[in-house]
Amino acid sequence: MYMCYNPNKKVEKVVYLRNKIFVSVFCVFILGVMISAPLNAVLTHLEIVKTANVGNVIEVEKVYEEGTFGAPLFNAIEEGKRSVADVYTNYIPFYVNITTAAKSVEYTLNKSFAAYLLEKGNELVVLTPVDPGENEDSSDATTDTVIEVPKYIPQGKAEYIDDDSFYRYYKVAVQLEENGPTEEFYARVPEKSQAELYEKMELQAAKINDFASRMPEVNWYVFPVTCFEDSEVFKDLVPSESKYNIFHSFLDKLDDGIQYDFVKIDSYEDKLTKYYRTDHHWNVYGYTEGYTRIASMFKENYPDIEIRVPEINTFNNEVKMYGSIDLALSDYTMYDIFAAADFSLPKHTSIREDNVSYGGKNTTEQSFFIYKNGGYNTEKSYNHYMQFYRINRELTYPENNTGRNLLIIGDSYCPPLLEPLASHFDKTYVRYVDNNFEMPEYKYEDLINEYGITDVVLVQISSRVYCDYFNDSLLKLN
Amino acid sequence: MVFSYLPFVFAFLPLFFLSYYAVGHFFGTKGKNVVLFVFSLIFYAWGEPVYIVMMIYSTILDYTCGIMIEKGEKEGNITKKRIFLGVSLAGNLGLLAIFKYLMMMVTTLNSLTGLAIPVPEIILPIGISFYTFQTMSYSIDVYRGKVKAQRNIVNFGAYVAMFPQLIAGPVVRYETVERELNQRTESIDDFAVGARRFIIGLGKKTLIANIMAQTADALFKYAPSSLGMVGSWVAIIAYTFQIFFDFSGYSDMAIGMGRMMGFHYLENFNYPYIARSVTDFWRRWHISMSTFFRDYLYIPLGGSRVSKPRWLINIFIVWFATGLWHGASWNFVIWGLYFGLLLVLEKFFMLKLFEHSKVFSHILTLFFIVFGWVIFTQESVGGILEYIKAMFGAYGRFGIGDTNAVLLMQHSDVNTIFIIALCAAILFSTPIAKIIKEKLVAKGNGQLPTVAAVAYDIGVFAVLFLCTIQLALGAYNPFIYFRF
Repeated sequence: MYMCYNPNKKVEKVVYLRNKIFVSVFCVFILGVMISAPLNAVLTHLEIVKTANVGNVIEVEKVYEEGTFGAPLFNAIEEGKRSVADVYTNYIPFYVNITTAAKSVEYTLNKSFAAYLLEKGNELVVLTPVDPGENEDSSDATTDTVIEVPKYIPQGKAEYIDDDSFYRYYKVAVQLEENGPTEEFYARVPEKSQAELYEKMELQAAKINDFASRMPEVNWYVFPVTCFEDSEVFKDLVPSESKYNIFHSFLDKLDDGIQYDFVKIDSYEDKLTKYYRTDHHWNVYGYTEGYTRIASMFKENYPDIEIRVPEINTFNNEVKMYGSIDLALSDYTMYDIFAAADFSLPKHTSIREDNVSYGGKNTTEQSFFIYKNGGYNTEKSYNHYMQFYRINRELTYPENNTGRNLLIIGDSYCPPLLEPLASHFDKTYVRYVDNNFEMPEYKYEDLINEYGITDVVLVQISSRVYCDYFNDSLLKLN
Repeated sequence: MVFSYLPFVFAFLPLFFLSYYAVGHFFGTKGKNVVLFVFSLIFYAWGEPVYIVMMIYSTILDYTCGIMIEKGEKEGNITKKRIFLGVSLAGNLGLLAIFKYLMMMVTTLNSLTGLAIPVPEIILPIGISFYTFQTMSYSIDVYRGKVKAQRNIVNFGAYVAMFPQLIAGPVVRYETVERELNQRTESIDDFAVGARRFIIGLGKKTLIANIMAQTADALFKYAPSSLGMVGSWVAIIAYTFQIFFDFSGYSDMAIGMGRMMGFHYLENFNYPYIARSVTDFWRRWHISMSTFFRDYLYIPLGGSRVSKPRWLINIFIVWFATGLWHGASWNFVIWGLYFGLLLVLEKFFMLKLFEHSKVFSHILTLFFIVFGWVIFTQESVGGILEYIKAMFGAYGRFGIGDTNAVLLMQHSDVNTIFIIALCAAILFSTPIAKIIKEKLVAKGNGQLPTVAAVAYDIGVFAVLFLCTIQLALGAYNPFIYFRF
C-alpha cells in the first residue's frame, strides 16, 4: 500500500496516525476471525477442542436434480458453499457465548414492551363465541354451607418471548405446590385470535359433517390433540390468547353421528405430565392417553377390542430432548427427558410414507433397540420425538381377521399411535398431513371404497382439526 | 453473495484484499484488475453460477462494440459507429427484455387479448439491471467521444463485474472510473475512510433495515383489512425506512469497498427524506440511476428544450422507464408515472406553494413519498386501493385500544428493539450527525478533535461488532434492491 501523507503537515500526520490505528484494528479483527473460524472447525473435527452444537444447521441453498446439465459439479459447489457458511457461522470464536448473550440482551430489552402489549391485550375484551355449557354447574355452588379450608391453587405466570409467522411463544412458570419448586415450560399459541379463526372453524365443522353424512356406514372419529391454549387453565393465564371457546364450540358443532374425544388438560400438572416442556407435542403419557381414548371410541362400535396397556420405557431417564420450541427460540437452557411406550404388538407389516418396504421389520422395534443400547443421537438439534417413530402409510395385521379397515388422517401427533391403533384393524391406511407433501386430489367416497375403509379417524393438532389452520387438515378430499 | 453475510465479511473480503495488495505489489494496476475480475466472478457465481454467462456475454459485447465504435470514429465512418452502438443497445436491452420483462409481456398480452401463450418461467439474473446499464452507458460514452474505448478486456471485465457495485448499484459510469481503472493508487487514508464507510453501511443494513424489514414483512403478510389503520401505517413506515437504509447501506458499503481499493465512486444518496419537494427528493434518492435516465434518455429526447406537450411526453417516457427499471410489474410502472405526474404538478404550481411553508412542504413531500412506497409494495391496483383504505381507517384497528391491533403488533416484532431502530432510522435519515461532525471539524481547525475522533472510531467498531452479532444470530436479512 502506498503512503500519501505529507509529514510536514501536522494535521495530516495526526489524521494519518488515526487512520493507521483504525486500519490495524480493523485488519486484526477481520483477519482474526478469518483464520480462527476454520481453525476452530478443524480442531473441533479432530476432537482437540469442543464446540457446542446449538442446532444451527446450515443447509445447501439449491439442489440440482440428478441428470440435469452439470448437476454433480453444481451440487459439489453448493456443498462447498454450505461448508464455508457453516464454518463462518457455527465456528466463529465464542459463537455460542455471543449469541446466547445477545439473545438474553434482546429478551431483556423487549421484555417490558412485550409485557405492556400483553397487559394491554389482556385488558381488552376479546370477541369470543358463547359457550352455553360453560357455566352450567355454577348455580349449585352456593347451596352448601360447609366452610372449606382454602386449597392451594397454582397460579402460573406467562411471559411473552417470541413469535414466528404462525405462533407466539410464551414461557410459563408455576409452583405446583405451595412453597414448592418453580416448574417452567413453553407454550406455543396460534397467532390468530379466536375471532379471526371462528369463521374457518364453522366451515371446517360443516365439511367434516358433510363427509360423515355422505357415507353413514363409515364410522367417523375426531380426535383434536388438545394444546395448552385450549384448556381452561390457559384461559385464566392469558385470556386474550385462549382458544378454549373455539375448541369447544367446534366439538359442539359436530353431528351426533361423529364420535369425538380429546386429552384432558385440567391443571398445570396435567400439562406438565402429558406434554413436553420444550416441544409442542405430547409425550409418552399424553399419547398413551390419546391411544386409550381413541381405542375406547372404537370399542363403542366394536366391543371385541381389547385396549392395550403399554410399558413405558424411560431409557434410564438419560435421553435428553431439546424440543421444537428450544430450536425455534435457539435457547437450550431447558430440556425434556424422552421416553417411549412399548405396546407389545402382534406381528404386523408396514410400508413407510416414502414407499420403502422394510420387509416386515418393525421400525419401532429398531428404535427401541437403539435407545435401549444407548446408540441414539445425542446432538441437541436431534428431535427424539420426531425421529423415534416412523411415519407408515400402510399397516397390516395379517392375523387379525376383523373385517374392518381404518383410515387415519394425521399429522406429527399421530406416529406413536399408528401401530397400536392399527392393531385393532386388518389394514390401516395413513394419510399424513403436511403442507409440503404433494397429494393427488381424492374424492372422499372413492378413497373409502378403494380401500374398503370402515372407520376414519382424524388425529391432528387441535387448531388443524377445528379450523384447518394450515389449510391441509382434510388433504385434498372433496 | 450479499455483503451482509458472514462468509463475505470474514472470508471473501479479507482474502480478496490480501490477494489484491499482494498481486498489486508485484504487478501493479493490471495485476490488481485481474484479481478484482476473478474475485468478482467468484462473488457473482456464488449466487448465480449459471447466469455468469450473461455477464460475460454483456462484457464481450460492449468491449467489442466500444472498440468498433472508436474505430468508426477514427475512420470517420458514422454508419459503422451507429451500427455498433445499435448492436450494443439491442444486445443489452434484448438481454433485459428476455430475462426481466418477457414474463410480464406475455402475461399482459394474454390478459389483453385472451390468448393463452404459455408464460415462460425465467429466473431473473442477479444485478442484470445494473450491469447492462453500465455497459450501455460505456458504449454510448465511447460513441459520444466522452471516453476512450478500453483495449484491455480484463480491465473492462473488472469494470463490468466489479463486485462492490455489481448487484445493487450504484450505477457506476465508465467515465467515473476510467482513469482509476487504468492507473490508481491506494493509501492508508483511503483504506480507513473506505473501511469506516463500509462498516457504517453494514450497520445501516443490519441494524436498521433488517429490523424494519422484519416488522414490515410480517405485517405485509396480512390483507389490508386485517392490518387496519395502525397496522398499515406501522408497516409502511417500517418499509419506508427499510428501503432507504437497505439501499443506501448497500451503496455505502459499495462506495466504501471501492475506496478501499482506490476507486472513488460518486454518492448515491443525500438524505432523501429531508427533501422539501418531490423534485428535491429525486435529486437525493438513487442519484446514479436518476442521472443515468437524465443523461441517456431525458436529454437525448430533447429534455425541456422542446414544446410543452413534447416536454410532458418526455417526462412521462422517462418515468415510465424508471418505474419499469425497478421491476417487471405494472405497479412499478404506476409508481414511476405517479412520480412523473407529481414532478409535472410541482413544475406547474406546487413548488410555488411549497415556498410558503418549509414544514408544510416537508410533511407533504414525505406523505407523497410514503404513498409512493404503498404503490411500490402492492402488486395490483386493487391492492393499492385496499391499502389506502386501511390507512385511512376504513377497516378500524385504530390503535392500542383494539385487541387485534395489539396482537398484530405483538407478533410483528413491534418491540423495544424495533422502537430503538426506528428512532435511529429517524435520526440518521437527517444530516444531524454530519452537521455535528462538520461543526467539530470547524472547531478543531480542519480535523476532528482527538476525543471526538477516538469516540467516533470506537463507535464504528461497536457497529461492526453489533453487526457481527446480528448476523451470527441469523437475523432476518433480505436485500430489496438485489432483485433489480
